[in-house]
Amino acid sequence: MNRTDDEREREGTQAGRLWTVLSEGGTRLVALGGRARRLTRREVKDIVFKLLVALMVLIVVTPFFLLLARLLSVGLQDLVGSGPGQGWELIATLPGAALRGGVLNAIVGTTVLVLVATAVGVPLSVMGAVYINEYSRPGRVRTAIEFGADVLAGIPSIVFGAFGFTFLVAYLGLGLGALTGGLTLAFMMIPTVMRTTQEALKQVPSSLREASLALGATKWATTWRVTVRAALPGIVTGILLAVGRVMGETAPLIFTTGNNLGLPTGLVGPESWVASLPFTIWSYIMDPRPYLQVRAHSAALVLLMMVLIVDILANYASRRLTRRIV
Amino acid sequence: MYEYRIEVKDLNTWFGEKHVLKNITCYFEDNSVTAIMGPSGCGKSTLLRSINRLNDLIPGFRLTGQIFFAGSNIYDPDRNVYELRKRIGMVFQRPNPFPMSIRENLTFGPRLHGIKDEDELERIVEDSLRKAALWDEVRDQLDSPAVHLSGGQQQRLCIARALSVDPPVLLMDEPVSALDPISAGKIEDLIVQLKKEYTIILVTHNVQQAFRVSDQAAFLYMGELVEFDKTKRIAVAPEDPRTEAFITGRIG
Amino acid sequence: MVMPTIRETLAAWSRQISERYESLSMRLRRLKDPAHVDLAGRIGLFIPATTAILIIVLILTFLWYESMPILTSDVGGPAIFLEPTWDPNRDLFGIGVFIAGSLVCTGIALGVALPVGIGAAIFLSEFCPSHLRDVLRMIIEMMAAVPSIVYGLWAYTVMVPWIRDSVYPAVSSNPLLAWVPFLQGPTNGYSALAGGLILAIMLLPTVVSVSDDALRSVPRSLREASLALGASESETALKVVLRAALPGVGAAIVLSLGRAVGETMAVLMVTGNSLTIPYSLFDPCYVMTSIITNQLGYAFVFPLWRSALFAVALVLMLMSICFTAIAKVLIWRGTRIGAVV
Repeated sequence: MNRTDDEREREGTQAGRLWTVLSEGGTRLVALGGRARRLTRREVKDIVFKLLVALMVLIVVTPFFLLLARLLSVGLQDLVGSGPGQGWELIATLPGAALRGGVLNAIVGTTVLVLVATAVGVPLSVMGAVYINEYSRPGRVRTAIEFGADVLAGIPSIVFGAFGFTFLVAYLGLGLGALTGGLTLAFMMIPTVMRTTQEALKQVPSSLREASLALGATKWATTWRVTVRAALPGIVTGILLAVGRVMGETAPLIFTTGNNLGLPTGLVGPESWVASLPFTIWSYIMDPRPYLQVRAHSAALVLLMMVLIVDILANYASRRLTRRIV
Repeated sequence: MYEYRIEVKDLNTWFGEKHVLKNITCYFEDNSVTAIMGPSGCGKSTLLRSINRLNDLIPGFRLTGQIFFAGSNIYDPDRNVYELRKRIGMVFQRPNPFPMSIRENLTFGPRLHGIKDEDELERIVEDSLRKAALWDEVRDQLDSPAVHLSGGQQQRLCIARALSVDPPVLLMDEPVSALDPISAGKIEDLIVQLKKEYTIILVTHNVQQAFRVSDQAAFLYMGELVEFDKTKRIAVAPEDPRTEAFITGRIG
Repeated sequence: MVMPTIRETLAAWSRQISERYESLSMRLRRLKDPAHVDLAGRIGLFIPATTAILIIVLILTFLWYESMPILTSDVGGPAIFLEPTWDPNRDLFGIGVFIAGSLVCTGIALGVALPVGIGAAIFLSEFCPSHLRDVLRMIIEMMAAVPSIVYGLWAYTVMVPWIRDSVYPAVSSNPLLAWVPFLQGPTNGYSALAGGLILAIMLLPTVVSVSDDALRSVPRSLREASLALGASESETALKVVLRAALPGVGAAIVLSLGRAVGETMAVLMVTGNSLTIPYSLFDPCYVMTSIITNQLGYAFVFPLWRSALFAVALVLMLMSICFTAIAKVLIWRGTRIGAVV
């Protein structure tokens, strides 16, 4: 009596037979859960769709584990070995003769570059975000600045590299080195820090600002002592996210930092040339010597650990932010 | 005679550990409006949403007891939930039109249930809009986004959308509480009109509204069904002191 | 007439001085006045706020200036964007071959990443139990943080041999697939397919997390309205939730498109960098970012060669600006029609 449109349609068509088979299969599956009714076409579709999207999640996360497995299976011999450049020596010694030593130069180089980038990029972007959120009214200026930050975030890293090369190295005459590389990375940090700071500032309730202004505080004092302070965990998250991102950048550094098998000793000139982990991994992997191929994997593990630690710290800071404000 | 009568028997529900509805037994008649009243948090929305099994999707929801619709238990494990929901329409507290055109809002349901014929769909659009007293206002802008309508119009569109799959029963969860008084009045008139063809279950915490539009009324308090009778009788002589307190505005 | 005494003169002077001083101090005090501090703050903060725009203008200026020589020269001209031959030794600077390579790699990447990524986002936001969801989101966020050189390393050492030893033999020995024109070999594994796949893997975390956010910001009441009409959960997910979130998802797609075109290191290591236009998935190719990375160092002293490379960078730059603008427009139009962004 209750023949649905579904059933009528199913019996007629060719494709309907496939559905009958599928739905009977589905019915048997579900029968284990205590049902006796044959599933309708739509119920089968629902189940198939859910299985399909679950499978897609599996496809998305699988490469991550394959990648970790590869890095660990090859890089581990460097981490636990006791030859030159293995074990602790991997992160505590310079490459030395025939590059048999560790990657200390790259670790120091990446650290120096990130410090320079942070020192330049963070104040600029935090002040910019404070301007947008606290001092500007919604309008053309704000839209333009926000659009600028978004465009900057989308520019390919190699374009930053080429720009750093022609503007900083050639036009300004800064030469290769830590300063040029750090500045190039600073340009890349600005959008991330700026937009996350802005988000964090937006989340500060306006009642907090009003409370401070009602006490007779100036806008300036309110902004820096109350608003920015309340938004600090979010700002820290933004900074850490940006640091994690630029830490792994290779392309902007190829034409801006030079390379160095020792440690940098100055801020300008050839003494300031630095190595970096991504660049070192790249040059090792392109080297035919087998032990350098292995070293590339262990250096990649070191870089991955550094990036993931920064990322976890960033998440930790922002979770605390949301918990405190919500 | 009572073809679409809904009967609730010994209904108990839990969200996690919280016992929300306790031993509810009541029934809803054809072609009449039943108001479910009660202070907020008393479980009236939960009762309503149990009737079209919309609570099933909430994690931690459990239910015992039975609800009969047209003679069969809707919580029978063999029950086709989609068919059930097609036959029990629902209107929500806040207008929630889909972000599509007015026309698409109304053809969404029929298409799901297999109606493909364009003329048929066109007829459904006009019929539902006429029943919801919206046709004259929107007949020229069927293809414009539904969110451009005013709040009251949006709610009437949502009623039309619920009617588009031709359900004999209509559940309404405080349908006017988010609207201005004039729009609310229009929707109340509409409910009285719709009663002629549909069984309507209306959740409200507005006593005056319940008295104006309903034929029978249920008063829920802290998950218990305190009183259930003809509205006229409850309005004149509430039996339970808690009902009286609610009607006179001392609780709620 | 009485001459003023010295005392009187001194008194007058001191009065004048003190008046002057008072007006000065008042002026100073007015400088400290909140309104002035605010004005100073407004101006002082406006300059850092414009840094982003300033950098973009500088980049555009320098790329334009550097690519002028080739765009105005006899051997180059604007036609180089369509020319398919790149041979700096013979003054042939056709960068069309790189544009074609980038298009093919990006096309493969999006073809894989979009369906898989949006499907995965639907699973995460609609059907996933919350504990599992937290774990999966954490993994996906970690994937987004993995540096591209590390993906490149993996693709170079694992994926390329896999394509050479497993995928291609399987395709070429399968009579159903062997005749398909865009599946022809032979291949050593370095191919557009490898570039496209590693790009897809790198894009997926972003596509998934942005789409997931967009889907989850669709109000619950829309889902309930759809279910109450008798829609199944998957019909609700596709026809209501995904549709309502479409502008947000669309913006995510356009942004990931931009990232795919601009990605450098991983693609560089696996596409084989051959100066030919790929006609098969297994053909090698050369993308825009790779040619800059590989040759800018050598080309430095040859004006035209260097200029042609900067022209490639200019193309990349303009493309990325366009993608960002399109994403913005999508979001803006989405908010206007009441969709969730």
